[in-house]
Amino acid sequence: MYAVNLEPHTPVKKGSVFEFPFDVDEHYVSEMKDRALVLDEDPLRCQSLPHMEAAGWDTLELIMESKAAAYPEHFSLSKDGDKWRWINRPMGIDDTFIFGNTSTLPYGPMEYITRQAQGDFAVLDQRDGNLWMDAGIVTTQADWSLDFDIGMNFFEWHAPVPLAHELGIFKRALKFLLNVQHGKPARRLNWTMTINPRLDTSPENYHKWGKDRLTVTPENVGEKVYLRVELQTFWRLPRSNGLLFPIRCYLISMEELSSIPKWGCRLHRVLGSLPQELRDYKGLTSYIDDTVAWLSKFDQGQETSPGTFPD
Amino acid sequence: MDNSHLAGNDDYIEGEERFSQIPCSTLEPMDGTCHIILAQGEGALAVLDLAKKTSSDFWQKTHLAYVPDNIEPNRTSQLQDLNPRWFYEWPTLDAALPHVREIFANSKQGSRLYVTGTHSFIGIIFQQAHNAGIDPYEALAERRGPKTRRIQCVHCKGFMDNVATQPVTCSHCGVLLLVRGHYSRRLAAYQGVCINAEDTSEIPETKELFS
Repeated sequence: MYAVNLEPHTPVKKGSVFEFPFDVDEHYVSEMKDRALVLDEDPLRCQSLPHMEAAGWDTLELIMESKAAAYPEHFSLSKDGDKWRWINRPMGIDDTFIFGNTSTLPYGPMEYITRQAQGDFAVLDQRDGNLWMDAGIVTTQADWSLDFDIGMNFFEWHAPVPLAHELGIFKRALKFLLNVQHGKPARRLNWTMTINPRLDTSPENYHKWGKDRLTVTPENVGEKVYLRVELQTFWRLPRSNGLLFPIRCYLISMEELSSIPKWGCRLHRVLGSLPQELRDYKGLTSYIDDTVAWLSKFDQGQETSPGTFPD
Repeated sequence: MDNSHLAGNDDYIEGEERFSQIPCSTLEPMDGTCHIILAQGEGALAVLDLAKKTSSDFWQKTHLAYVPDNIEPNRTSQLQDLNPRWFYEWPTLDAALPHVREIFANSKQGSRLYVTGTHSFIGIIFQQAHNAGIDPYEALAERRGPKTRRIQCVHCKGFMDNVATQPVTCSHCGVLLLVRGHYSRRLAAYQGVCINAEDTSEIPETKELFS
């Protein structure tokens, strides 16, 4: 049922989301506009405790260097000592700044670069044998609040998750994460479901989007219900010894998902066998039965090929 | 989140709250160069119980602060009889806070902190201690009095003190809130999240869970 499912974050397949350290796709510019809108409405979606400045510069360096190497047609980074020039062509940005000097950027270093990077980012401090959620930018989240969780340790911010504590999942995951080394990032996948392709399923706005769940009918499952997969990666930061924790969200409708027969079949089995606690925790209770019924036509009991990629 | 399973479960608290709150136990004397004891309301009784376990020199290096909070009976004279080196009394938490900050700011390494009263009181004092850089491992807490909670509405960010019921209506924005088993020491509050967002006409029964 639960697995820590961590693996090295190494390139897997050309054209897949695992090809580059930080995937940039066709939704890049619109997702960055969406982030800016959410931050305008609620600036507390981006916060950094005072001791996290060095980790912010680490984050900026990692993302700039990775993107410039992976997508040279879109991003360029040049350095003249501490004087850096960053060009982001899709967003029309060409900035020169002094690395390490926050007054030379329009935002703090973490906010500056993550306003230009898809997915949420938590920046974790490591001390006392624990990880602490001490900075982050969170505008595309599956129902958790940075503003509430900031400053918490690994066990505290996971407190609402059912079952996993008893299974020792968090103790094992923490042990692994405390030992992630610089230059050897790790990744895992996490999932839930969302009604409509809404990125900002925040608790802050839950009273606004929660009602969407009752709009699902047996007829509209294909277009209304989305699988939400998070690609979570873990990066040791070199100066601060912090851990960068990007959470990149991908949404796919049931209609599109089932265009890959293997995926429709697999999801039917996963949803059909999900324990009640997880149905509730993931917020699926009101529409999961309709979704399982809709997916049943893709599952004839056939064997599926190993791995997650289409056949 | 879905809360349809709330009905029929009298003691339902979402989440594993033991991973997400200030650990409360019984006050015991700790080795230290200075003791800071803060007691609210019925917490005075926990201090009197603590006194049964202390030696007389314990009180020669102790700050004892009492916040009666209009809770009867008043225990001022009983606490004064313990002969602490410093004794203070402030009527409410609000009145006490500037002084508490001062005490924390002036506290030296080797000081030990003892806090007793409602969970809200303990939470706010620990929040102040954290802001002053006091190590939580040098502190003990004992809850006395009602189990009411301080919560923050995740929607409007307003705080409510002395919440006794599940669910509770936010006194600021009016949303009906589930009190989650999710506690922030930084905010000294549990999280309140809309309990009926899917269908606001569905009103779960209100139960006195925290009294």
